[in-house]
Amino acid sequence: MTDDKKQDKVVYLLEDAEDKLERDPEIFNLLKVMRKMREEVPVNQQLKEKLRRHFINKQAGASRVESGKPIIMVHTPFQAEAGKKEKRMQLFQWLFFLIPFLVVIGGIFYFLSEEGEQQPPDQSFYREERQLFYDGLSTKGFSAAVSSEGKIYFINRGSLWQMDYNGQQVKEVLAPQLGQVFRQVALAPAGSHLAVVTEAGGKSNLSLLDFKDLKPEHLHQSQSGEVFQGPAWSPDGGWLAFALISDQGKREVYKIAVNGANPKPEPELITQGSHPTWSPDGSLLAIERYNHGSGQAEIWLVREDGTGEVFWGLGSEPQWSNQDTLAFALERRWEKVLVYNSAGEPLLVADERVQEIWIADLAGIVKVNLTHLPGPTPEEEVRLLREWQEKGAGEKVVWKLRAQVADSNPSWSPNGSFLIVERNSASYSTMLWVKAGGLR
Amino acid sequence: MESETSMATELEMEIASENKENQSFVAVYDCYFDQVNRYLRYRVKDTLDADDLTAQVFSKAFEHFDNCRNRERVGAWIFRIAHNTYVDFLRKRKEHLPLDDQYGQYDNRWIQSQTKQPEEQALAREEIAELRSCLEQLPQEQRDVLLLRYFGELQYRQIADILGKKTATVKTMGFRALQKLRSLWEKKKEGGWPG
Repeated sequence: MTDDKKQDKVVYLLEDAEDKLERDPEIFNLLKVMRKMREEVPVNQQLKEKLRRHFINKQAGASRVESGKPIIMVHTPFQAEAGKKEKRMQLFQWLFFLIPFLVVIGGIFYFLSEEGEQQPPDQSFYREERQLFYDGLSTKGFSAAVSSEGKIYFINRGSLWQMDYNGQQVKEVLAPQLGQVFRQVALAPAGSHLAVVTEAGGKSNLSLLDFKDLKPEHLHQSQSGEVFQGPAWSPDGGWLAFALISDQGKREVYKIAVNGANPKPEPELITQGSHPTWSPDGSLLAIERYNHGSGQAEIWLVREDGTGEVFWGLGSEPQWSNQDTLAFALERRWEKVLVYNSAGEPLLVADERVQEIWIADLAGIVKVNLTHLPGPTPEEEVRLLREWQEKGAGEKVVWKLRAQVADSNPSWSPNGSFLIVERNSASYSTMLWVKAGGLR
Repeated sequence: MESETSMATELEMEIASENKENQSFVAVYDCYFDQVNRYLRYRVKDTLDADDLTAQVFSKAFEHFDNCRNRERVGAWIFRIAHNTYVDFLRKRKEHLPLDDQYGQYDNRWIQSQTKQPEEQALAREEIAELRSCLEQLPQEQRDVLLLRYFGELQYRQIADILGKKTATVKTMGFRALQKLRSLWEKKKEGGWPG
């Protein structure tokens, strides 16, 4: 039996029972009294009439409002057709304006969504770094270059060294000649040559080393007091860009052709700056410039012929990957209030600037901090508090701290999956393998 | 004044003609005012309050009349508004649902308002007072069902709509309420009911 049928049966039984109950003389009397009681309750006829009139007026007002709606009077078939045509025209006119409007709005939304998709960094990316090499003498300036075979060439205490990308098989490749030190190294795209900067007798030399015999091929020599810095191979291996830093601190970026010609070609000035790095297509260079006004390092993009300079963003030591990603060093300010006064205003502030390695897409929209250094340590904070109390603990003090460590000299792996980064402190220098990613 | 009257009459005629095809609010109002007003006058101790509530009920109904899609159940709909308005009124006044002692006085007023002999009035007053007393002893839900059924003159289906219950449930409640009322009534009679 279905639920409906069951319910019908119950209702029927109840109705039957109620009828029987109502036929009960006692109930009959009771209901009679109840009916009497109901009849005794008078209805307010005055109110009834008053309300009735009120509702009639309101209802009439409402129907008048409804009847006030515009009505298109159509009397003849011709007029009806004309009315329809007019409506079609109106619709067409609306669509004429509406469609371009929708297209524009859609374009804006598409642009915004595209931009929005790029803005948030990849949530699944996590930072990862490993120490590959440690030098307790803090010699700095490893100038690492990574080959496609997983070898890392770097400078250590004036010599050319190599190791595997995992930090194993560390060995000296080439010791400098007497009175000479290796300063910097750059691996040619084909992996057959190394461009090296050496210093000897107060002058810088730019040379090529062929892996076959490790015999240096001289390219260019600086004037006395001048220093070559940051040789960078063009993607096709035909040019080397490098910076020339004068003894007055002037920085200029040059490029020199590497074509085996003899006599050697003269370097061509590109622009002001240092730390040149080539774009993957070889048409642009990213360079570092120091802004004396703001006191900050800036990254600029410039065509390889020196024209069309564009400010890219803050940072130093740019390195352009073949994935069109820029790695660079950037200072970040740590500010921590250690003591507040009774009014809630800061009294003692620890201020520390740390230099970390970041990567960013070429548009500079998404930036990822890859090395993320800590700010003031608890020990430093305690020391600061103690010194501050000893000095009287009076007015507001912003205590500028020197960062314990700084990251610098990022160098891309050939496939752009990791970076070799240098971490220097007052007492040591290390080379780190740092995972790259998080931009998508 | 004449023009006003004639205009009102005209409108009434219009509405009356509309009623044939489309039930107008005034027609519904005419149909249910007495029941609602009586129901509320019975349940609320002050007739002025009851009349105010009646006006509120029909104002609400007028406002939302277009939303009442099922015109066949408009009676239940009006009474649902009335019942909810009454419950809200009690909640605001913090009154108790059971009937209080003052009802006797109101009963007197109703009865005095009728053209009856003093003996009849006295008898009716006593009967009604006893019945009230019995009704007061019923559980609230059973009392609601009985009052809507015999005071509101509604069908069980309509009461089920108002109380948001199944018809069978409401019938059961009504059946039990009547049984209980009978036993209470008998007890009263045994205790000296003049009937």
